[in-house]
Amino acid sequence: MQIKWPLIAAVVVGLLLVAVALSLLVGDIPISAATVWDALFSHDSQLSAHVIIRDWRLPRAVADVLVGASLAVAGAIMQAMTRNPLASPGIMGLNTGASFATLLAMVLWPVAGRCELILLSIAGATMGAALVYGLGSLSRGGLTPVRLALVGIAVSSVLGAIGNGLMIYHELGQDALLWFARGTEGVEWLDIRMLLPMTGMGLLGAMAIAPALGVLTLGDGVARGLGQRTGSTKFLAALIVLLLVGGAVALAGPVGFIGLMVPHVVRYFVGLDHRAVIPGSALCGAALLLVADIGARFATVPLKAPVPVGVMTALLGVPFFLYLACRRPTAARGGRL
Amino acid sequence: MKAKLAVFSLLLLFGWAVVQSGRVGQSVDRWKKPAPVTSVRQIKVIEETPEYRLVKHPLGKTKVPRKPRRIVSLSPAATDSLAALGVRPALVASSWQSGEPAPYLADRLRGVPVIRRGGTTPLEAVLEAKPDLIFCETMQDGRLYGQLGKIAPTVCLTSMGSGDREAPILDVGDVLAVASQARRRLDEYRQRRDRAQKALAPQAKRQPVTFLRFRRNTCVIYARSSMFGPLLFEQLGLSPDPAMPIVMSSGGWDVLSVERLSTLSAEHIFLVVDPDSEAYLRGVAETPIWRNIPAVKHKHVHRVASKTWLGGEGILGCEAIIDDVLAAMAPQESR
Repeated sequence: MQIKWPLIAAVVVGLLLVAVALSLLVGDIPISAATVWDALFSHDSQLSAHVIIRDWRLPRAVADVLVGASLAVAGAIMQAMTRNPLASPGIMGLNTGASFATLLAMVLWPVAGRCELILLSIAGATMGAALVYGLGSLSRGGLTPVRLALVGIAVSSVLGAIGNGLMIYHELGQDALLWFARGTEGVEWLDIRMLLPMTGMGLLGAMAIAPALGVLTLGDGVARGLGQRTGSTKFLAALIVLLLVGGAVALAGPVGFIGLMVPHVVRYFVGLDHRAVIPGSALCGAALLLVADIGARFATVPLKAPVPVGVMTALLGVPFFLYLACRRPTAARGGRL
Repeated sequence: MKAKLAVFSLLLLFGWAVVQSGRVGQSVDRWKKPAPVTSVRQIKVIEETPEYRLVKHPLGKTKVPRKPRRIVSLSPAATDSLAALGVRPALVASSWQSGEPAPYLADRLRGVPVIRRGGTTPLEAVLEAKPDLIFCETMQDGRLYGQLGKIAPTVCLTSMGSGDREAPILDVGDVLAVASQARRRLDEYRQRRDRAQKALAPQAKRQPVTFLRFRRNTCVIYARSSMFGPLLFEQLGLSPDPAMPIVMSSGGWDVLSVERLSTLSAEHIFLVVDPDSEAYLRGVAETPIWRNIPAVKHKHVHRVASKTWLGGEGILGCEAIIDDVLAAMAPQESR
C-alpha cells in the first residue's frame, strides 16, 4: 500500500506544529496557554514567564526542529551516497571529532564559554571528516563505501579513545557530562543565529542535489553511464553532510539514532525518490526530535535530573522502527538501496 | 508470525522500561530527611612504645614513629587538620583540579609543594618527598595503600564528602600524639561556631539561603546534606531554600534549569562561578528570572571561593565558611 505523499506531508506538518505548541507549553514550571500566547504576541520583557517562553522555550523548539531535520537529512544523504543502509552521520567521524575538540578545549582553554565551545566543535567535526576522507582516499583505488565506513570507524575509535583519556586524566567527567548530555536545553537565540546560515545552506543544498542522489543509489557505474559526474556529486554531498551535522552536533551534542532511522521510515512511506525522501526526512526528523525532547522533559519531572534527549529518541524511535521492519522487511531496509 | 511476536514482546518491554524508570524516580525520595551524621572516630591508638605508636585505621594497623618530621598529606581533611595544629607538611595533594591549595590554607601552606591529583596519585612525587609518615584517604588512595605503605608508614582516613568535619583533627591529633592540643583547638572552633550561630539567629529563620554554582554553562544546586550543608543548616541553624533537595543520589548536585531558577526564594545566595561560565552568568543575570530572585533584588548575592566551599574538609575550612556567612549576613559580627 503506497499512500500519497502529499497527504503524509500534511499530516507530518500538522504534527510538527502541534509538537512546537506542546514544546512551548511543557517545562519545569507550569505556564498557562494564555500566558504562552501573551508571551508570543504581546511580550512583556519584565515578566519572568514571558521571558521563559520567548528566550528559553522558543529557541529550544527551534533548535529541536533544526537539529532533527539536519540529522535526518544528513542520514538520508549518507545512506544514498555510500549505498549502505546502516550509514549514519556518526561514521564520518563528525561526532567524535566534535567531542574530541570540545574535550581538548576543556583542558587547554578552561575559560572557553558556550560560544567558543560551539565554534570549536564545528572545527572538530570538520577535522574528523577531513581525517576520515583524507585517510580513506590515500589508498589505491580511492574512496569506496566500505573503505569510508572502515576508516570512519577506525578514526572515531582513535579520537574517542584519546578523548576518554583526556577526560579521565583531567577529571573532566562531570563537565563533559554536563556539556554533552545537555541536548537542546539552554539553547539561546545567539546560538541559533550563529548556526542558522550553516544549517539553512545545508538543507537547501540537500534539496538541490536530491535528484542526483537518486541516480547515485543505482551505483557509480550506472550513474556515470547516465551522464552524472559522480565525483563532484559525492564531494558536494559530503560538504552538505558536514554543514548539517557540524551545526547539529555543535548545537545539541551528539544525538543518536535520528540520522540512522528516520530516512528508513520515510522511505517506507514515500518510496525511493530522493526528491521526496530529503524533505520527508527533514520533516520527520524535526517532529521526532521535538516529541523526544518533550518526552525528555516529562521524564525529567519525577527524576529531577535531565534525561538526555538521545535516550528519548531511541526509546520512541526503536519500537516504531521495529514495527516497520517487521511489516515489510525490504522497505525498512530501504528496498533496493 | 514469529517476528511479529518478537516485536510485540519488545514493544511491551520498552513500555515496561519507561514505566519503571518513572517509578524509580518516585521511589528515590529526595525530600526525606536522612539520619544525622554521627561523629565516628576512625583512628584508635592501640599501643604506645618509646619508638612508635601502633594506630588502627580503616585500612589496617600502622606503626607511626614518635616524632614524624616529614609528613606527606594526600587527604584534604588531614591537610586542614595539620594546618590547624600548626604542623607544616612536606608535601600535600590538592583536593581540586588545580595545583593550588584553598585560599584559607594559602598562608599556612606557603612554600609547601602541592601535587595536582588527576585520577591517580603520583607515587614518584611522594617518594621524592622522603616522608616518614603519609596520610591518605580511602576513596582516592585506597588501591594504592599497599604501595604507599612501602614508602613510609601510612595512615588512611575515610573520604569525607558529606561526612563529619570535626573528627579529623582529633584523629590526626591522636596519630601525632598531640591529642590534648587537638581537643583544645576543636573546642576553640566550637565556641566560635556557637558565637556565629547566636549572631545569625535573628536572620536565620527569616532569610532562607542557598548555594549555587555556575558550571559549564549550567547552574548547579547542591543538596542540603552535602559538604557544607550540615554546617549551614544544622550547626549554624540557617534555613535552606525550599528548592534545595535534601539528599541526592549521585554527586550531591543537580542541574537547575533557568526555568527552575525562577522558583528560588532565597534571601542570600552564596555563589561560585567557574571560569568557563562567567559569560553565561552575565547572560542569565540580564533576565528578569534572575533579577526577580529575592536575594538578587536585595543585592545579597555573595561570591565565595570554590575551593573553600566545595573542598574545605576540616575545621579550618568550616571557619572560613563561617567567616563568609558572617560577612554576608551579619557584617557587624564578622572579624
